Amino acid sequence: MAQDRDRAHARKQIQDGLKQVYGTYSDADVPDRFDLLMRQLKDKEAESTPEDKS
Amino acid sequence: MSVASPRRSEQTATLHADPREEIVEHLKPMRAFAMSLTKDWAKADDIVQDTIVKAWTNIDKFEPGTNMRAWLFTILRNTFYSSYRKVKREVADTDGVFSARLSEKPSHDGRLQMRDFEKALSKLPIEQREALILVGASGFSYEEAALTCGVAVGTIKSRVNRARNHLSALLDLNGNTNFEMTDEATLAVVAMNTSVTR
Repeated sequence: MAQDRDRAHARKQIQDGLKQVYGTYSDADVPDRFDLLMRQLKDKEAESTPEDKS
Repeated sequence: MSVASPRRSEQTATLHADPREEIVEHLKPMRAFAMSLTKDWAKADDIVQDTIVKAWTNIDKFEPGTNMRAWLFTILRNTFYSSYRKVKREVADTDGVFSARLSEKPSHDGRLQMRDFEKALSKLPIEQREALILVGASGFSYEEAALTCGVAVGTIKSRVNRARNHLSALLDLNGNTNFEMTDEATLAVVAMNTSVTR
């Protein structure tokens, strides 16, 4: 009984810890390099599309 | 590129005419998952960048209406393991026997802080860490996690279970232990580490 209670408590502590740590990673600011990357990919796509059609 | 593309779940974003528009919505979760795998923001961002380029150029392989986050995580994971195999900087230790021998239990008075947890999490074998992160933090079902990792559902369940037991041992968790992870000092240290490593 006490073992089950300890196990449940440990599991809850782990879940809380996971959410806290992963939340910190998820909330981190996204560097500008990704804006630039998305723009480059879109530009490249826009450049290649007319040629593909012709 | 052959990757799993599970059915759309509640965690995924709105449908777009061009599915590539949706990629950016998963940037933060992708960075968090990559950080969980690499433990280093610079490496994590390199892997996320490679993942975005691969996803963008292979968008025809994505089935609209399915779970894009799981599809992106699968590509990200494959990208990580490709570079991981090349570098081989970590000791192969799938059962965590070696890391458990190296690890020190935190000395505490029944109160643990977030940095203790983060340190213990980083000591888990990579297979256990990714399974626990996918199921316990990213909101994936066992089935989605199994598809993402390319293993059976039972394998994911077993890895998650072993990860929990391993963490419990590393942190010396018992019925009297409590985390104090919202105190200002801990959050300041984590914020500082996060900005330094980026």
